Amino acid sequence: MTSSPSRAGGESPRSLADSLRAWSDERLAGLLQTRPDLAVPVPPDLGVLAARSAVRLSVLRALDDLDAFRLGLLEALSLQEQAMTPAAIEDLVGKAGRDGLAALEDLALVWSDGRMVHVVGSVREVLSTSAGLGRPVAALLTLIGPGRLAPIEQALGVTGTEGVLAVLHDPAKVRGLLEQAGEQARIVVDQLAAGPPLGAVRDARRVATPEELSSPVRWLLAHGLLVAIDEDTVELPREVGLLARGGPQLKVKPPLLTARRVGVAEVDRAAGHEAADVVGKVEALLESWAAMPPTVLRSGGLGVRDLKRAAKELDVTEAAAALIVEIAYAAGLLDTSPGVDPDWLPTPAFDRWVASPVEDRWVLLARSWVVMTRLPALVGMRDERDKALAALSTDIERSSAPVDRRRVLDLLSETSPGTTTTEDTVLDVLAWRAPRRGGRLRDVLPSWVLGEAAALGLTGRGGLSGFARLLLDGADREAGKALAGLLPAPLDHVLVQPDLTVVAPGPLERDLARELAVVADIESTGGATVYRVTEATVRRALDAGRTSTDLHELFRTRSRTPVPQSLTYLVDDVARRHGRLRVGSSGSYLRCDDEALLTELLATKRADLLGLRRLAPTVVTSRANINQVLEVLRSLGHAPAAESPDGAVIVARPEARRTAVRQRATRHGEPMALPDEQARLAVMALRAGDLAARAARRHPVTISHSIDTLAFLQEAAREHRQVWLGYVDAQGRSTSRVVEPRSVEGGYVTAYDHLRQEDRTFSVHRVTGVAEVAEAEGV
Amino acid sequence: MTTDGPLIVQSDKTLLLEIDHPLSGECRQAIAPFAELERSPEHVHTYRLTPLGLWNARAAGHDAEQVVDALVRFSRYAVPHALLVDVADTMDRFGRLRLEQDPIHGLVLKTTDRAVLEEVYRNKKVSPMLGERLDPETVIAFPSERGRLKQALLKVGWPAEDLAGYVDGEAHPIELVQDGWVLRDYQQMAVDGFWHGGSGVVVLPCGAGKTLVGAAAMAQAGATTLILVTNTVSGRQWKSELLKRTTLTEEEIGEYSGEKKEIKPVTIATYQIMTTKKKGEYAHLDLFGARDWGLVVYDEVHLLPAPVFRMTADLQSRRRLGLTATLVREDGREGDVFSLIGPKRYDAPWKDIEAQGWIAPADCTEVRVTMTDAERLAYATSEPADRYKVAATAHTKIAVIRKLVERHTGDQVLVIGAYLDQLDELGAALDMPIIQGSTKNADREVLFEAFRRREIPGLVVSKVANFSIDLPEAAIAIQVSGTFGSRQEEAQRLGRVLRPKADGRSAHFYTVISRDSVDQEYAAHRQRFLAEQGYPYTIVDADDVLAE
Repeated sequence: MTSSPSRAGGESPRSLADSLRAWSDERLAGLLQTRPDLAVPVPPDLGVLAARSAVRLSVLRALDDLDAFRLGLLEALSLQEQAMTPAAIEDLVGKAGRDGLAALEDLALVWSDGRMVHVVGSVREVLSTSAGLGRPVAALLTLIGPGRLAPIEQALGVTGTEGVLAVLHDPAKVRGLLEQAGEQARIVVDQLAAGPPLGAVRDARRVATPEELSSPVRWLLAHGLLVAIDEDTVELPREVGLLARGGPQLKVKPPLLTARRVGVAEVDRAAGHEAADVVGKVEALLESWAAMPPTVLRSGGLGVRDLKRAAKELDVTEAAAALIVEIAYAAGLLDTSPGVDPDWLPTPAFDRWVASPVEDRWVLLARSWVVMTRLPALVGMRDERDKALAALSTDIERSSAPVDRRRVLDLLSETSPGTTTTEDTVLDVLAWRAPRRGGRLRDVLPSWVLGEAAALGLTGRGGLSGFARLLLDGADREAGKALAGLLPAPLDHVLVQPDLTVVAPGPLERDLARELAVVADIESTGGATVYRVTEATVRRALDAGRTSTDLHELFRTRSRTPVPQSLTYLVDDVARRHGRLRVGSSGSYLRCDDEALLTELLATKRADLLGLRRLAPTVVTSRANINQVLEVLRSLGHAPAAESPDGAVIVARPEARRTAVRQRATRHGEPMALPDEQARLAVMALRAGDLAARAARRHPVTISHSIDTLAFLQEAAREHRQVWLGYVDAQGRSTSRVVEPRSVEGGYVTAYDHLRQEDRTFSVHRVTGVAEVAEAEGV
Repeated sequence: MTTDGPLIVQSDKTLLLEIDHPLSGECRQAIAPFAELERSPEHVHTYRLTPLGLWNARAAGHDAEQVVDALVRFSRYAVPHALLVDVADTMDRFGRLRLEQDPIHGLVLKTTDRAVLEEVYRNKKVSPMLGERLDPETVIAFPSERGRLKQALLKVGWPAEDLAGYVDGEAHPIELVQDGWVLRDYQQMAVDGFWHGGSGVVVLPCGAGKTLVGAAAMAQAGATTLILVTNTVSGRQWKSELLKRTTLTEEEIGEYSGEKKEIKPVTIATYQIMTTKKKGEYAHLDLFGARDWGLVVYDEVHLLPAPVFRMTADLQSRRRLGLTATLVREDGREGDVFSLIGPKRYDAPWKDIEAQGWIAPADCTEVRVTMTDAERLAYATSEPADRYKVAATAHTKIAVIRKLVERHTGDQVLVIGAYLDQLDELGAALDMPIIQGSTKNADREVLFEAFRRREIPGLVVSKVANFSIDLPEAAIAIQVSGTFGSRQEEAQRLGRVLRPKADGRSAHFYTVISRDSVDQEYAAHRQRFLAEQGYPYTIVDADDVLAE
């Protein structure tokens, strides 16, 4: 295959398209990969590729990916009026300019004709930020007559406008002149270089006398470093201004990412702590919502009041609560219930999640966060109509979120384990890497990501933890394992204190934690949990079916410290009073002054289904409702009378409700990328298209004899040569393409079509013409 | 992964210290400078990180790195990063602003951070107290506003470090007379801490010898001193203690109270007289300017009344020493103590001092009395406002109190109550003299003296016992009623029996309460406070006591 370029012998490229033709396949593939928008759809030929790469929108995209150095370099080049030689560029920006230039060339933002480097037109247009700089010297010199040019020629020791320009276009010479000019003049130049480039000078046009040359402004005017544009205004030429600014201020190297080394263990420990913490918070919140679900706002999302309540319950800020809620949703643990008035409820996945080990639970949360297309940090901010953005609503949906998040996380991955960075450093590095990227949220989004990563335990003490690195590498299982090793083992004991606090000096076994939550209120959480036992909590435990013996037993067996007497007394005191008053509910009641009749009724077998219970000699309750009771009593031959109905109902604690995960539109937040193989194929197609297009341009297709055609094609098939093929399809459309014939038989040509990237069959009788590719190219 | 440290850092900024851990002592030393001890029950002590605590630490010369290091080093689990950042940020706020003495312009507010000065300079509350801007980092402060300026700056979260120094005051040599006693280590440390810092508060438990810290500070200052105390009796005790422990003579110490108005090189005044108003004006403000005081001592800072705070704001160029058993103020004005008297300069938990033998160990017992049916009915039908009184003064208590007194025959007993009828009744039943608010000071002193000489077995006292009366040999205290659930009162009352006993016996602290009533609820509240101080209660039934 003709994969390598056949650069027209020694001829310099005259355009970007020309220069692209000289590129190797690998380099072209590289271009398509770094600027994937160029490859969709695959351009038919290199001319189109060149044109497309110069389209403003595509250029803007490409500029977004430039780091500060390359962007600065490109800006500097765009400010130069003329194309420059690589050497001149190096002179302007230093040694690193060469590498930078190569990179820009690879991106097809500049191209070289072998001698000069040209900036693609639309790039120049986009970057023409010459604000504060004067006009080019060539333009300025046209403003002054020959009478005033002569002294300048004389001063510079050259003749003619060209001579003057040659000096002023040469940075080295201008630099020399500026040194000569002296300190005072330098101050003037610097001031004008900082912009605006115009200065007021009386009698600016007058040619200075030799005595006057001691004045810095006069000296500069005399040497063409300042140009008088009218009687009392001078302008600093752009070339001089650029030089005075010290050339482009290019940050060649990115800022250092690592701020401090705190040690792998320290980072992992801190991150592990946060990881366990966030898992606990998600669980706590969803458990609470299962019992008291917040309603879904009519506009979707979660009400501000409910978010406040969640924040209060979790003892975190509202922003932190919003993150917890959003992650739970992203992880599929939370969704809206079906129905007219939907609630936010845990899903069945939540039950599975709760039952799995902490590390697996974390992996699910963290993974969901990494790819979620929502920005929880937006919650509570105001939109254009000053409406607060609600959590769990579509308002905070941002399809670019995963890409932006990933950029920050990838940056963290580049730090060496056990080191930390600061938010400022991350912002600096990101700003260096892609100064034009990020839009409105550019300055805040990275700090949001860092904050969320810290809250989720991906980072600890500002460093990326080992297990988070695994997670970001896609090794979720290993990440879980690594995290598991960091988590403290659950404890089976607590410390009970005389002030009626119970301290769990670490995470508790699930059962123990549940029991304690029944009998005590949580007072503070963190590494440990502090519970407080009060009269109310003991009563709550008794209400929940625990007996005082159960409670004594719980404290006796699970407390590592002796159970204080005050606690024993408290439990006994409450238990003693508990249940002295009894409250129940019943479906209906029967009362009868004749005790014997009630006794008889209770003894009746057929009355069993009424669930009768005697509360007092003359009062019986029934589980059944009034109508049933009346019916049964009548069937037994009694003549009951209904009393005004009592509406007591059985109150049972509602089951913790669940809802199914709704179908969600799947969004792919990962960045668009072009895999190697696709890029390779695209280049092949391009080459083929290019060949065809150029062939078509140069050799209009003519019909040849079919005998010749057949022979030509057969020969090409034998020699695996590419040929140009003119063809009329079944719809009568005439096309031309470059193909590689494989076989010619039965009136059909089977050939590989580079454009379609597949073998195709052509009827010989529809072939309008054939030509050699080499010939067609006119080599 | 965990380390085996004794400290657990909670997300609400409390620190749990496991006492049985071998490193707990070391850890306590490391965190005490910056964390406030909130509760010290038997096994796990709770400290809290507060901005005031962190600033106190900064004022004492600790920096954020030390704090973070202590937390990280002793913590069993990872310390939340956010908390560490917050600690560093908070501590960083102290000292950005400094009050200094400028040789030309006098008092100035200086900063190391122009933005901060800009912020406070534009603050509506602060700016009236500031004068001309001398340069971007310095602004003139009006000397008369020194105290209020510090208060205002604390409120806006930029506490100023007061380096403006003090006037020496009128010199007056005072020496300690250490005959047969020496200043204890912790007392010396307290004095050193105070003197080094210039002004501030020393926190020591009742009975730990705060008066001596005051005396030693006076000796260190060697200047005329104004001592502000809670009441006359307390003032007299200061006087007798100063006569005993220092070179000061009767002629040098004046009493400034409702009864006498003496102004001498050392003058002891009561808070009450300072807050007395005549025609809507404080009548005795002149006292502060009556002499060129070199030192002002505030006894029981936690009781310092608000008007005295305001007066103190004008005394910022004098050295100020606050003495207290607790920085907890039930009115929450800890911030005023910090900015007007000064940061905490020394603090030691009760139990440690007890362990060193300087205060007596105490057994706390709650005795539960079952009210008779008649009493229960009276209780149940009483107005809500009277319920506590009905329950607390239940007649049934008398018998068990008498029994308790009998149990400790030979020991000095204090019976403490809040209701006068009940006290009368008890006085009669126990045959003990009664001291109450209306008892004249002279009579009180006679009775106290008799009590000290063990001529009478005990005293029935009203709320006056809440304040600093010194009854060295009270081994037994029985409280029968109180001011609802006041924690401060409980601390004071316990303090009555904590003075070391000659024979090293432990003290007994009884609380007699009526079961199943608000009396029990209030007791539970106070009991929690004592338990938090490391004094667990034992609960016994009155019948068991009576059956002995």
